[in-house]
Amino acid sequence: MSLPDATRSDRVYPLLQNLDLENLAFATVQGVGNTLAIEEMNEDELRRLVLVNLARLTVSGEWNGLLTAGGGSFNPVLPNQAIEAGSAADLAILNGYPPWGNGNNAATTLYGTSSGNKIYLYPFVAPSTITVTNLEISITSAAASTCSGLMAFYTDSNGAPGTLIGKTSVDVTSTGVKVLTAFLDSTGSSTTIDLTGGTQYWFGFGRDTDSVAYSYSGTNAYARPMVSFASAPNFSANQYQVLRTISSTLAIPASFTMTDLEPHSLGCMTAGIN
Amino acid sequence: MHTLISRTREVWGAEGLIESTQSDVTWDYVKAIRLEWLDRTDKFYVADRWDLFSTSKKGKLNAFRQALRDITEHPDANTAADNMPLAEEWFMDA
Repeated sequence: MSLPDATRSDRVYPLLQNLDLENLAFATVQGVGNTLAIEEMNEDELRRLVLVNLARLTVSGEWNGLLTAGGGSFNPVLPNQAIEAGSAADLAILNGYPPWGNGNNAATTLYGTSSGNKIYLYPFVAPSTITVTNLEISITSAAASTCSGLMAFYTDSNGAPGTLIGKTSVDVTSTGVKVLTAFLDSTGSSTTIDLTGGTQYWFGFGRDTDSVAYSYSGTNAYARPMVSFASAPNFSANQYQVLRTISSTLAIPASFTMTDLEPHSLGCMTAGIN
Repeated sequence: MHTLISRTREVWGAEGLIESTQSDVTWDYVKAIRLEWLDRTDKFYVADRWDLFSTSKKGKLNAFRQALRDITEHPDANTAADNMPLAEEWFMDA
């Protein structure tokens, strides 16, 4: 059945009648529409033209044109290069950029009790496509006894941490910047951390020793977006800034189960990569 | 106690520590850290908060801030960075 009260098609359907959607090129659609004047008298043909092209895009699974025309091309570019000549500022700070980060960097302590024996996770969007050469963190207060800090990269799985990409660890019994250059997969074999620009991942951190505190440079929990649903609207202001494992763990897991993760408040370990 | 500036830079590889060096810092960086911590600890001097502190805590806070103010008396930025006062754990609450 044709459009209600429509006049008979004298251009769109006659010119395209022997083509099926799979074989209809956009150039052909353009050719049919190019000579149509934009006026009320042509409204039926304009509708048909849009209908045919939408059907063509649907069949070919091609939505780029529609998204561009609808304003979907807005695509902010995150900082991804040193912009000062000769500058040493060449680190991408994973917890510093939109949409998940902020620039309020301050010392944060991983608890000196068993309640801190967990893996803490925050999401980030990779600012560029990169194979990570260096992961840099800063220890501001050293562990009082033997302890290694644990760090890991995970894929994103529908807005939650997915599977392990790679992990590393470092002695945190001294302060200063730690530059980590070697990464392991879940089996303990050497691996690379390959990130794709514009893709969401998760960064995880923790420790390997029971109840040993250390402090690190991290972004303030009070100024971060929420990383999970809340149980009620009257939640505490700083309750949902990281995810952490519910069960205690002193090792980096290969993946997580949603039932073993909970939201928590803790400054996100500042992680710079290049 | 928290180190405000550590110039130590360690590079770690698969076999462990590869190298440990001391980075140079600038006066601009030292002053930025000093200003950040003076700003952060300003909040402790609001009367209702200040009045709750013990004499010991008040003394530690005053000494910390005075050491920050005096930091420019060091001959160069690296020395100043190495002599930055340590921040008490409870300063983090600011």
